[in-house]
Amino acid sequence: MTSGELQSSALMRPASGITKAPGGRIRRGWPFAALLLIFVAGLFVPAVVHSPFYQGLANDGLILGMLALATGFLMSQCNLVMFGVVMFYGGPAYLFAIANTNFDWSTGADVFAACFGTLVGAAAIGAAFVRAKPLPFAMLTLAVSQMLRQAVVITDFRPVTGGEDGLVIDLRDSFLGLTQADLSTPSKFWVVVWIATALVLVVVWAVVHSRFGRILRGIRDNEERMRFSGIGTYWPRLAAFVLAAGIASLAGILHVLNSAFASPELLDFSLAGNVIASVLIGGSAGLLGPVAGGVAFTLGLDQFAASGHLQLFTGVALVGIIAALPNGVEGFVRAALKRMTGNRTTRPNTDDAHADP
Amino acid sequence: MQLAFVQIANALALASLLTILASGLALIYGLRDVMNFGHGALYMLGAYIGYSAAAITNFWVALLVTPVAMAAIGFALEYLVFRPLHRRSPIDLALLTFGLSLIIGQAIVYIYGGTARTIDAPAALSGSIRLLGAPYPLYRLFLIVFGIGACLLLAACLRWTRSGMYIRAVSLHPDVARMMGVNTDRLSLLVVCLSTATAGAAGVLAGPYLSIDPGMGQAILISCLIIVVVGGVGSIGGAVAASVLYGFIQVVGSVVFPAAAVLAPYVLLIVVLMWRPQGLGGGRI
Amino acid sequence: MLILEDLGVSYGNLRALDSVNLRLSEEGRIHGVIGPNGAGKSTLMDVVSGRHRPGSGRIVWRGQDIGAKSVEWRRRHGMSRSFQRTSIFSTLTVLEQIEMVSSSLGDNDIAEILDALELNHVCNRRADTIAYGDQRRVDVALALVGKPKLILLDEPAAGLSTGETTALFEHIAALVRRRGITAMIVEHDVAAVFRFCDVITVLDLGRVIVTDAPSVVRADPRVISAYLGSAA
Repeated sequence: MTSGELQSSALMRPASGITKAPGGRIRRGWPFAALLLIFVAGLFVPAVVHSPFYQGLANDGLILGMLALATGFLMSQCNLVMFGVVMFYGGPAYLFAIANTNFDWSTGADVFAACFGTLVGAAAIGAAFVRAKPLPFAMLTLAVSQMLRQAVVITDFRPVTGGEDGLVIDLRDSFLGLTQADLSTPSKFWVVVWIATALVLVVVWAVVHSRFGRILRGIRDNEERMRFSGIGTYWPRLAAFVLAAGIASLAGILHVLNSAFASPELLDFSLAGNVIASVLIGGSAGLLGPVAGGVAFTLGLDQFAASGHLQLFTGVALVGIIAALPNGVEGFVRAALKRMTGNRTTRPNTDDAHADP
Repeated sequence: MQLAFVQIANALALASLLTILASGLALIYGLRDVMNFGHGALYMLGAYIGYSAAAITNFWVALLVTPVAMAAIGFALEYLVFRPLHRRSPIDLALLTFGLSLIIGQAIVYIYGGTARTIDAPAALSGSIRLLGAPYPLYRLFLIVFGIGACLLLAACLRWTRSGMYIRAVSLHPDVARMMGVNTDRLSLLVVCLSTATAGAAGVLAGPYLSIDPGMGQAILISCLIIVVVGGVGSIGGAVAASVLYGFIQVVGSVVFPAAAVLAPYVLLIVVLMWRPQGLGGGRI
Repeated sequence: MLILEDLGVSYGNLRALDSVNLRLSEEGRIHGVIGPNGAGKSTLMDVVSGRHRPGSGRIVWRGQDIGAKSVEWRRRHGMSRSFQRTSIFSTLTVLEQIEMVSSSLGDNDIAEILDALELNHVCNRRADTIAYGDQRRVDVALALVGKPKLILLDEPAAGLSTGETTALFEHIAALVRRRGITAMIVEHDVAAVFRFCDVITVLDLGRVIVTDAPSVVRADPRVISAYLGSAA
């Protein structure tokens, strides 16, 4: 892609204003307090939402949001679209389930094994693929994820993977003080997911605003100049890939702890389609955008699933948003806000609105 | 010996279908740099339109009428999607076409429901003939012949017609071709309509051979993508070679190593993208 | 410091550089490279900086044959370059990108460079929002940070007005002399080259016609017939 096309891509909208606002320390104080407040308040959502069904939906929404965040991070910082993101969602789920059914380890050990296995896989896959151009990269990840999808249902592998039926998980001990019953209770699970999401948001925020994040964006903008500046372009992107994979695998592990079931559907490409739709709805550049997109998508999905218009919803979302809103809904809202309030600063690029999520 | 022959014939039949389908995808990819993720859905749409047409008339009429209908859809696609959004990145368009495929898929479910259908092969082709002592479905032989014929026809058009030359030029060097005065807009319309028409034809041809169901689009999409990428950007010859390769891998693989045969095409894709990213044909039609 | 020995580069049948011999041995000197279009000036830049491998000959940098060394290695060992077609990081701010490069090369002293290149007023602007002239200077700044020993400037004044060109050259010359950096500058603006350079190499059709002080080069009949006419 030429850099012109790059700039116009709906997915590659760079975090346009993630710059250090001069003298921003005091200004950054109050948004931080507000976020902390929101975080604490969020822990009590189950007290407000009484329906287990809608609570479960919110849980799913956050998990999808986490996947969207991982995908969006890689998209906006590195210009790489992980069509095959589901391999880092279903993959660790299966690894966990396999460890659980075949070995007599504690749940914590199972989680560790799943994470470790996934990260090793991510490192290997990333090492091979991260040098590819965007479209081949996307297709390579798609190929691997679909291979995995096919592999888990191969009849010869049934004893290990459970074939089409998947694997049922039986948590024999508690994890982080929660029993299997706790984890499958929507209101209690929400707390786990909420905290995990907050943690992931903090991590991604820190990375994006760090020197590492800057280097990633520099590589994305101009790889050649980066090399001519003495900075290698391979390892940073590999690290970003592994980080994104790690976030996705966290989502996968959370899902499987909650559902106690690993099935081939976790590796479907349609799920990847949902993730990408979420990213587009929320806007890939911001941090809250993808997460909010995931929640919005899940809620919308539920509405449409009830009426049987599942695919239509995703399809229309994808088409509509790519065609009409290059910056996603978040970007659209931000742009609208900017127009309404006028330019607060004289230098149009010290855009504080983008500096914090 | 007999078995081998049957397997080879099966591989060629599958390859024929895939070639017709993949050429359309390769044309668009070469000309517009767009990976049309909706190609599978268009194939499916063609199959269903063909089904309806065949139900009213017969197979041959369906085979004639469907591509025309699909070309009209291609016309709409070019003017409503590809042209207005031609400045967007390839990934955006890939995703957008994927979104379209979901919409088309849903529309088909609305109209036809979810049960599988078939198109009956025309009476002339519904039997089997004896080849090397074993009976072999006549329809599959027809597929093979049709596939070869379509390839030759396409190759001839690209080689010897003015438009064909333009297509090759624009696929190789779009900017230069444009500067030389080639009307890329009209060419683009031609290519897109050709692509959707061939997808439709492939759909009708698949009717008697595979079954028609709402999942057939996605199922064949991945195969097509693999073939086009392996064949090389914009290379029809490459797509043909890749289809044959794919057909063989599928069929032979299912005999030799049935458990993991289904993984073979993906391995093929990965190997090619890693070692020769420009594909077998490498940029030449 | 930099020795080019019998350097040759071919693009297919085209001999872009042929038996190029050059020596840059003194610090703080500005070495200009001029020549008509197609003379091989950019190829020279590309080969020395590592963007392109030489077909034949040697490049010796501070006593070491660097023909096989990567682009990153060269930058980390004191050789930097700027680009004819502005090559900067469009979504980072001016300050961010200059800081990023300088700190990764272990150099924190960028204030002087920012001052010298008059970039302070656009420090916090995103690089794709500033004027073309400012972008050119950012391109040069990225080559100047990290305490390089040799900078290769490929048409730094491309697209600039005469006034801007003179200003840019004045900035670069002052900085380079003050810090003892050796500069090799490819440039089309012959007047600027003759005014600011200590040594000038004239290339034509891939070969070096002459390497000498400006006054000598100006009077050389081969140069006049090949390139200058009576312009100088």
